[in-house]
Amino acid sequence: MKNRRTILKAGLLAGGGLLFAGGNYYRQQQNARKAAGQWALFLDYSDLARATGRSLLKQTPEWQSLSVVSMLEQFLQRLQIKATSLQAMSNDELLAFLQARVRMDFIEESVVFSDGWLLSKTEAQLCVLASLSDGLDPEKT
Amino acid sequence: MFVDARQLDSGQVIDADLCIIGAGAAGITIAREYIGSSIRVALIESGGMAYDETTQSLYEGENIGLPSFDLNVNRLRYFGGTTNHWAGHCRPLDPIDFESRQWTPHSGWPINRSDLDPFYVRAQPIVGLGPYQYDDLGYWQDEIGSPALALDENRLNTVVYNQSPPTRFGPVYEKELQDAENVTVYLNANVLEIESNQDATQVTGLKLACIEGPPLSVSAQVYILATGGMENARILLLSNKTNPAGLGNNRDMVGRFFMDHLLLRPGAEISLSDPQTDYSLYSALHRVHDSQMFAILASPEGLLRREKLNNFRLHLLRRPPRYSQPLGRVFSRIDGLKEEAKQLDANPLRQKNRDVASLHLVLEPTPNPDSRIQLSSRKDLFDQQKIEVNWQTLDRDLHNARRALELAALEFGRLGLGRAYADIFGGAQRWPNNLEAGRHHCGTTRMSENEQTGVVDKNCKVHQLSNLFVAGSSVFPTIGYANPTLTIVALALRLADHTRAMLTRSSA
Repeated sequence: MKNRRTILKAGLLAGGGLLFAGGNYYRQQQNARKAAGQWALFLDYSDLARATGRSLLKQTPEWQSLSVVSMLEQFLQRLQIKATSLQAMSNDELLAFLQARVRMDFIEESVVFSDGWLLSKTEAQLCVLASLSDGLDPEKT
Repeated sequence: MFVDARQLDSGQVIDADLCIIGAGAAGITIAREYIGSSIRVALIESGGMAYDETTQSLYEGENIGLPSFDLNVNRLRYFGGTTNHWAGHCRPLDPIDFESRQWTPHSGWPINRSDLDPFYVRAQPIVGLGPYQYDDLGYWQDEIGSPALALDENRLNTVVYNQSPPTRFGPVYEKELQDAENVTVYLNANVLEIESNQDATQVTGLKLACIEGPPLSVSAQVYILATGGMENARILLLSNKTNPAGLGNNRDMVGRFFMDHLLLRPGAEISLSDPQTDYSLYSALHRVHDSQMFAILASPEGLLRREKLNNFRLHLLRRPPRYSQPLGRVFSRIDGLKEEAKQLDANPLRQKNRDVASLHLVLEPTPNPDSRIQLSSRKDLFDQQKIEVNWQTLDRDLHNARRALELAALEFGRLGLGRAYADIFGGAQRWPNNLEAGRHHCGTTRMSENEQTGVVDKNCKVHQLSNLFVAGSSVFPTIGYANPTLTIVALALRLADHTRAMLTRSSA
């Protein structure tokens, strides 16, 4: 069995690749779902994370209309990571980006409310990505 | 000495230099200050030495505003007053609490915190506390060893609270008063009316009654009304022979501006990212030498000015959560928790009970003239009108509560400690169902520069009367977030000094 870190990196590469690889729509979506699932590995309690993501999607009209590809793009933009740089980054570096952005969200009050919870926008997007990856189990890819 | 007023002769006049009405924290404090002096003090108490249901029923009244509390339960009508069941939490008001704040209507005391500072120091041992060390967290932390949260002090700071044993003023100070030659405590004596001269500018006496005893009266030079935040207003309103609006009430200010701390317990709950988070400095009571303390999260002065908020505090406690899923644990990795430290429980419902910090909000209300105590048409056993309490809040109070909890949520998120859940988040237009009153009745005889804006002056003298003073939290024009007892005692000490000087001058 591949370890979690190896899987995570592989998935992120796929996610980065899809943004400039072109290809048919179905394949792009599949890759994006896979990448979303990999990013979701930075979360624990995956069922709860996905449920939170679904709830956030329901209450956020501007996200509802986005494809998983666009959502992933927005997320990477939020992290200020270029898709092409993903290959060169370690998981620890990616996590550090995520941590820094979430912390900055709480400083800047870039937050959302979901079912009584106050969440940073970045982690809210991450939960949404987790929910969009629903049906894919990264451990089995 | 103690006298049971029921044993006195019918029509007897109690003669004294100073008459204090009410033997609670304020009344007992003032009486003690006179022990050993040449001034004769009569301390008039409605109850006896212990709880009595019939006497207690004199406190019955109605809530006609926000759902509050049973008026007959949270006040106690016997020697020692409500200190017979107070919780003992103590802290002075903040300097900003005394200011006229442009963003808080009707705020501003005619005195400053510095006027009260020496009296706070004197009040400290009276309520059974150790050194007056509220500003030096390090003094306590050096002994306790628990860490403080690394808060952004533009948003929240860690503040020291003291815990009284809590001192029950009745039993603790009974012997001193018993032994005092110049102080007489009259038990079971109820003030029905404060009588005044024709133009209601000077008190001439008190009309007393006993439940099973004779009618009595009091004659003194100076009178201090110290019967609590509600009853002070009631007695003034009932004393309406010469002024139909009630004594000191030419401007319809008596009973208005009724305030109580706004409590949400909990206001928010933090689902912690790390079950090992140590917040015991806040959640536990710490004994340091002869004192007890705990820490709270409080609003920095700069924040209040910047965001135009009322003052607030947050208690951080370990309580079972109300949320159903521990969302904070979803973000443990982002919050920096290492894999080996995670100790995840496969069952989130079981996990949630371990990983919660409950935030209890105590918020300063905005003074509001429509929040008031009035006389009702119902009568007590002396055929005196009972009170009705119309407790009201303003929209800005709800905004303040929400903002206070958001700030805490932002800080816990920024520190990577967890995520906050609150009923009030997300633009709620109404108070959550768990809104409570702090049972700190304040404001009904507020202190002010003049009679247009309040009932008593900076020395707690009723504006319109020359020899009637009011003690207790009814004189607070604003109430900050601190529990009122320490301030009640500090103000009582100040009033004792003032009236002593006045009585000494008049005897000379």
